[in-house]
Parts: sequence; C-alpha cells; structure tokens
Amino acid sequence: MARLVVLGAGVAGHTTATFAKKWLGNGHEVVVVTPNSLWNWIPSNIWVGVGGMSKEDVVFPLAPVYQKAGIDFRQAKAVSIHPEGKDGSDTPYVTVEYTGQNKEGQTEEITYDYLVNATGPKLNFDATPGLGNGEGGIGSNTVSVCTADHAVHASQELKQVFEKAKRGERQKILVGTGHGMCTCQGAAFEYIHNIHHEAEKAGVRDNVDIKWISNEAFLGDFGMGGMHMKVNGYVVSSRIFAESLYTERNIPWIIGAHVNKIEEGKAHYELLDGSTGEEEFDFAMLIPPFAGAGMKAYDKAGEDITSKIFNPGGFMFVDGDYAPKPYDEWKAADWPRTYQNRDYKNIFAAGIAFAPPHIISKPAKSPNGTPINPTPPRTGMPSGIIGKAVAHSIVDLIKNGSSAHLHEASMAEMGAACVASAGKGLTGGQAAAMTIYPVVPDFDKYPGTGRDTEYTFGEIGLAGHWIKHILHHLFIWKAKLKPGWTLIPE
Amino acid sequence: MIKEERNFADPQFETAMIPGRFQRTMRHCIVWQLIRMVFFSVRSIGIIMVNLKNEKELPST
Ligand SMILES: Cc1cc2nc3c(=O)[nH]c(=O)nc-3n(C[C@H](O)[C@H](O)[C@H](O)COP(=O)(O)OP(=O)(O)OC[C@H]3O[C@@H](n4cnc5c(N)ncnc54)[C@H](O)[C@@H]3O)c2cc1C
Repeated sequence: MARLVVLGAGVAGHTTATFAKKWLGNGHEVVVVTPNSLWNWIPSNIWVGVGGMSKEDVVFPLAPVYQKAGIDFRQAKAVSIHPEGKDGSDTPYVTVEYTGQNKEGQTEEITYDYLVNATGPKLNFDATPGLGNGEGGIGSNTVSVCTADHAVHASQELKQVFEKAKRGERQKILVGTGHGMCTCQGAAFEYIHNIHHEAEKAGVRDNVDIKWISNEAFLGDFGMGGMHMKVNGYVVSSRIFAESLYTERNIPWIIGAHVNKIEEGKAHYELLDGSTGEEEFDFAMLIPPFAGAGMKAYDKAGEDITSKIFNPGGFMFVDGDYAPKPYDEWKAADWPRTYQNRDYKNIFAAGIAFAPPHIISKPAKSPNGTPINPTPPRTGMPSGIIGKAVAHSIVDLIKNGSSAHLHEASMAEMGAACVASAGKGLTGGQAAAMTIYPVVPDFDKYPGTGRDTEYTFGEIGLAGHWIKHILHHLFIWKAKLKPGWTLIPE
Repeated sequence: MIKEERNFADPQFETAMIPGRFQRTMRHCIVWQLIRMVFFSVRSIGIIMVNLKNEKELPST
C-alpha cells in the first residue's frame, strides 16, 4: 500500500487528492494536510467583498467530504519536508503542526511515498510597510478579498463608505496591487468594477471617486504580458479592452506603480519612471504580493536544503528551465510540463506552489533599480488542470512502477477560460468572458501576439455574469464530490 | 449623447472606446445574451478539447 500526501486543499490540492483517491481506490492511502477546516471557492470572494454573497455561500467544511471519499484529512500546516528520511530511516516524511481537530499546536511526522505540494500562496502583506500588521496578517489601513474572512470585513468597511457617500461626504476608493511584484491583478480588476457597480446601484457613484493603482506596465497586462484577442471581429489588445472599460466607468488609473508604504488613508508609491507620489483614500483594497508557504526542507543528516527545493520566494522547483536568461531568450519550452521536483522524483508541486521559470510580462525596473512588474498568475483553471495531471502521474507511478509515463500540462500549451466579474445581478450584472490559448505566450509558434487569436477571445456582457454564477455553483458541486463531479472540467 | 461620453474630457481616457446606446442595450438584452452564453460555452468546450488533445505522457525519469 502506497501513501500519497497532499499539502494544501485549495483548487490544485483538492483536485489532486480527490482524483488520486478515486483512481487509486481503497488499496492506497491519500492524506490531505491543510490548515483550514473550510474549503473556499476563492473567485466568489469578490462578491462577498461587496456584500453580494455571504461567507457561507463560498465555503464548506472539508471533513465530511474527505470522510465520504476515504481521504485521511489532517487539519494542520506543513512545516518541513524531509525527502531523504532521517537518521535510521530512509522513509521520507513531512512535519506538520496541527491547527484543529483538537490537536492545535501538536506536531507530527507523516511519512509518504509520494508528496504533492499544493500550498498555494502565502499572502505576504508585510512586504509593504503598513500593508501588513507586522505578524504576517493584514494591517488595519487597507482591506483584502483574498480570503472569505477578509472579504466579509471588506464588505463591512465598504458599506460604511457608501453610507458616508449617501450622507454627502465625498469618498475616495483605491483598488489594485500593494507592491511592485504582485500578481492577481484580475481579482483586483473584478473588485474595482464590482465596487463601481454597487455604487451605481446604491445611487452614490457621483459621490465616490474610484481609482486603480497597479504594478502592470499597461492596463490590461494582467501579469500575462497582456493579450491580443478577438473582440467583435477585431483583434485588439487587452490594453484597449481594459482602458475602454475603465473610461466607460470613469475609473482613472495609476500604472507601473510599486506601492512602497501605506499609512492610514494614504498610499505612497514609486513609478516606473522613478518618480514618486502618494494617493489618499478612505477605502483601499490592495492585493499583497504572494510568497510560497514558507516550508523548510532538510536532508537525511538534518542539513537545511530549503534552497535546493524552493526558490528564494518559497516556490518549489519542478521540471522547468530555471537557468537565468534575458527576456529575448525566454521560450515557451522553459515552462514545466510534469511538475515533478527536479531532485526528488516522488515530490510534485501543483498550482501556485510551483516555481515559474520566469515572469510572463516584460520585466521592468525604475531608474532607482526597483523591479516593478507583475509576477505570473496561475489562475483556477491551470491550477486545477495541473493538479489533475499530477494526480494522474502519481497514480500511474503507484500502479505501474517507476517506468510509468508522467502526464504533461504545460501552461505554454494550455488554454484557459476566464470570467472576470464586472458587477453582480441576474439582469443587471456583467462580466468579461475570455478564452486564451496558450496561457503562456509562444512567440515562435504565434509570431506577433504569442497566442492563437482563433482561440483568444473576449466579450463583456450579462452572459459572462450568468456563466460566472453558474461556475460558482458547478465548482462547489464538484468540490463537494456530488454526483457527476468528475464530468465537470477543471 | 450618452452620459459616459463626458469621461473623454479626462486626457487619460482619450484613446479608449466606449459602447454606444445599441451596444449597451445588447449587453443586457436577455435573448442576445443567451445566444452569447451558448457561444462562449462552445468556445470554452473548444479550449477544453484543445487541452485534452495536448495532454501527453512522458516516460518518467
Ligand atoms: C480574490 C481572488 C479572486 C480570484 N478569482 C479568480 C477567478 O475568477 N478565476 C480564476 O481562475 N482564478 C481566480 N483567482 C485565483 C485562484 O483563486 C487561484 O488560482 C487558485 O486558488 C490557486 O490554487 P492553489 O491550489 O494553487 O492555491 P489555493 O487555492 O490558495 O490553495 C492553497 C491551499 O494550501 C493551504 N496551505 C497553505 N499553507 C499550507 C501549509 N503550510 N501546509 C498545508 N497547506 C497549506 C491553504 O490553506 C489552501 O488550502 C482568484 C484569486 C483571488 C485571491
């Protein structure tokens, strides 16, 4: 009997664990280690953050689902990986620290035959002074929608802002990224447009100034170097697409910005041209930079090998080409295909946890040497597809031995559908519905745009909102392993 | 004139394009949006099919 240990139960980890268990059956063990008792459909946190959904709408308890599936659930966080075992034993293991199940604070060693790191991002608020609380959490100057609890708090604060605006007090709202090296601009994009939509609905938009600030070199970069897509029969840049939407909604932008300090009601920033500025706000939602989960790794002798397994940001090295090279030499082939750790073949990483070979957007620095560019997004669909491919590979390795074939899911050969909400409402809602192929541009194959414009398309309208709403229910259905869950694509 | 045209007064917005009355109506026209939903679903299925086609297996190392 083999044991697969999956660290993290987000989009990637939950997909890996549930498919692996389904394919392996009861002959093998699947253990999931994750610090939260609840599963969260993160994309819908946007609607929680504007009061359009409750926390209960976007989370559910993991324990009963894993019990039904026969998965061993440990509510704990992984602290360290020991891929060579320890003195007296060659069996690899992870050290975990419990956060629930009445074992809070207790540590345990869990041995594994195969390990999947799907620990997603650590929200690194403290990277920007004043964005964090100095203890790893969010500070009191801004709000976030990255977790369901953050989003609940954001919605309460937003409500107060709208109430003040109703009373005639002019309010300033700032939304975007809180550091020069952030990713996840898409979530901030959704949030700012949902705020606009709710402000219109509440009749306070004329009393609320809404402004965007981000580290993108141009609006619509989204950490993917932007994209050219078919819109109404034209091939247009996402820059025009995004700028047009912001223009229509009267949302000015500050772009190429590294937010370097937050004070109560004020964000300080440096721009790509080296100039500095500050922006006042009554309410700000700034996405923090992402880091890896911060696990350590040790060899058999107990020597620290963290830098062998993880990059400096804490993301796990897999089978990508990590040799440093200039932007002009970046290739689609640099991107990992199997997500197998380059040193330990029984370790894989899925979703945000794997180390990208480089960023996707063009790298940029201010004259002061400050890097200001988005880091690569790994959105829900790629995270799920990678999680499933990794499950497939491990199941084959377990069933067929080490000569089994590994499954590939390169982001440079993968398409994704993405729906960005621009306002919630059965008849009044809107969303930008996009498909993109491939996620990572391949300029050798598609000179000019890097992507296949037959498959890269975008449109904004009510249909997008309906799709986003249907996907909310479909993905929660799938995550709860309800009948037919395997038929719902990642 | 639609009220959003006033936004062009801000020089930052100068080079963008905004939908006119017809396009805005279509964005919320239930029948048209149902058609677009089917269209987008078909496109997404296309992407899923491409992903499946690209799914490969490699000998493990
Ligand atoms: C507000 C917001 C909106 C978004 N909207 C969209 C969208 O509309 N569409 C889209 O495609 N993507 C969207 N995304 C991105 C999407 O949420 C991510 O791509 C996806 O969640 C990544 O999956 P993951 O499994 O890598 O990480 P996560 O889903 O974050 O999961 C990581 C898991 O690891 C656990 N973990 C953390 N540390 C440890 C540890 N030490 N040990 C064990 N477990 C640990 C966490 O508790 C969590 O369960 C959005 C993101 C945000 C923040």
